Amino acid sequence: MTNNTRTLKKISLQGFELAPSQIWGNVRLVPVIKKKNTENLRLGLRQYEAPYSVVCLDGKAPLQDTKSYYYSYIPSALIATWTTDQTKAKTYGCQLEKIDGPANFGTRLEERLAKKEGNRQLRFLPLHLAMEGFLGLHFSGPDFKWDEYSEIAMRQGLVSRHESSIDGYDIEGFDEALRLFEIHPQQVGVVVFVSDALASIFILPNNGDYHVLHKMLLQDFYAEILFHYGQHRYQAPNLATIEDNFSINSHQDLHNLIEKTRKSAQQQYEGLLHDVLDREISSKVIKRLGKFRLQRFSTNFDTDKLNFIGEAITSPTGSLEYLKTYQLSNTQTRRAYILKTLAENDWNLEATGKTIGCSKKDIIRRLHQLGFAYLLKGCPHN
Amino acid sequence: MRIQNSVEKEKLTISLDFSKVNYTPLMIYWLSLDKKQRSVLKNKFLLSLDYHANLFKERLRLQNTSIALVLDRSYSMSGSSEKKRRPLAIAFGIFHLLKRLAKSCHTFWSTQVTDENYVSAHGQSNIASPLVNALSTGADTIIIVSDGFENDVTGMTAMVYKLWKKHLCKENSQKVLHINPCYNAENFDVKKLSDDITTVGIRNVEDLPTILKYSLFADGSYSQTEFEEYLRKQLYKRK
Repeated sequence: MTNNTRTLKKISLQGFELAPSQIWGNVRLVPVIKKKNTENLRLGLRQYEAPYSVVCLDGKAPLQDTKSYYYSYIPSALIATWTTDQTKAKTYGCQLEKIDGPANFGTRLEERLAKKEGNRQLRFLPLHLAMEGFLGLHFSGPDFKWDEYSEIAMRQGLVSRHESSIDGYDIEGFDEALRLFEIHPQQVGVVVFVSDALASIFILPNNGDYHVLHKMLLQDFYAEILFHYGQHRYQAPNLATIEDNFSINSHQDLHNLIEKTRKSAQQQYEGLLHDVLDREISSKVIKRLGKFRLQRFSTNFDTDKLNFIGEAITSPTGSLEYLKTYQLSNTQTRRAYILKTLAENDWNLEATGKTIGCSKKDIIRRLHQLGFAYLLKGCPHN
Repeated sequence: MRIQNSVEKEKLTISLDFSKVNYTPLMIYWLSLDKKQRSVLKNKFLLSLDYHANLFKERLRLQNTSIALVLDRSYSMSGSSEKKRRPLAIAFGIFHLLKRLAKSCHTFWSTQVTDENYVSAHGQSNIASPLVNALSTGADTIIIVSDGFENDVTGMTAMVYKLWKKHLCKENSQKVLHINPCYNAENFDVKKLSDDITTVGIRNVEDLPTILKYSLFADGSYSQTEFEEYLRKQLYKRK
């Protein structure tokens, strides 16, 4: 089987059920339920003492041969363990192992974002894998030496790219919501909405893993816009509607009504997720975990629609075993969009202007606004 | 009780008299035990419950009332890190008390319980379905013990209660009361499940008789003077 047939084309929540949500102020949490647990793939958590990390992306000797680094606040890593037959995989954390030595100066040095540790274990930095893919977009810079580009852009490409995000603690009421949130017995994931705007989808292979990783949602990073959404004095409405014309003659009718409302709630959540479930995504397989594939994906950065990046582990049948998404803010989308359009037009500003439907001047103005001025000649920093 | 635990480690024994301990702390202690310890102490615990129930008999006077209980044992009932399992222990305590004192007592948990002598705070808060089950038993009083955070589906209890009141309730024959063991730290109030259901907060199971009388006052079937008279009597008894 080739990699091409195994990449994710669309996010589908088939095989999962969405249980009624819990609302805390403007935070809405929708539990994701899976009837049958995956036993031969498990995810565990490795908490780091020194959260500030430098990751050498090409896997060469750090600080000597490595050309590209990824710097971030990374408080924890996910450890995937798997088996190739039908036996149960053991979760990371259930076995004795050596403790890492103390970190230097509060900063850790990591090799690669996803690294195999032995035959049946993989360590990866959740969401950073997707974020690195996003930051590394057309990182090599212009391929043609057009007059407008600066020396730096031609020689070193995009030099350094950065994006800022917030963590879960910054979203008002989110920690309280997670504390009060009821975990269903078969729950494997959660969909987080802030002011009814999607913040993240988080799905794990096994309900046991979810119980452990539930609190990790607070350490994860989210788009900055969610901080502002969190400040809204918005009370997420109760989606289930009262059926006025439902005739009640017995207690059984009340039971039927409850069932009906539950079903209608699930449909309404799927409606809220419309922007995610219907979008085409392009994905790339990063690592093979036996039969499973770890991949990262992104939408096409269409500025009219909501865009997201994320990572997933898929099974041979194509079903989702692990999923984590990050909603991009408008500025982030616009940055990715202009880089993508430039690359498609061989970095010709004139041609890019035509594709977008504006003049070359506008494109230069846009590049300035989006923080890419250093790529062009005449920037004060060059 | 903690001394008893540490004494066990030293291979000595002291036996604690469960009937000398206050009722609510006893419940919290019992829920903190593991399966093995429970099986050792079960008989002693159940005997002490009978003793404790007897102490409440005079104050509760429920011999002629049939009761249906809806008990929330969802994850949020596990309490805070400061007061672990307290909300659940209160629900558990009320359950054992009313089971022994009421004329009849049907119990419906938010998610099914296999061993009623040991419950844990797990799962979603499904209040609406157990409430319908409780209503269909035809009991005089239905008591819901829940922290008020309903999520399966939010607002369903209010809807079900409203529809039941409109279509199925026969002339106030059945009373529904919501007892909430979780006070909101900000305004010292409790969260309601529905605007139509009388909600009262509770801190200790020992307060249950007063809470039940207060609920009568709150829903208007007890006048202020009657309630004040009751409270005065209680104070007098304590002195």
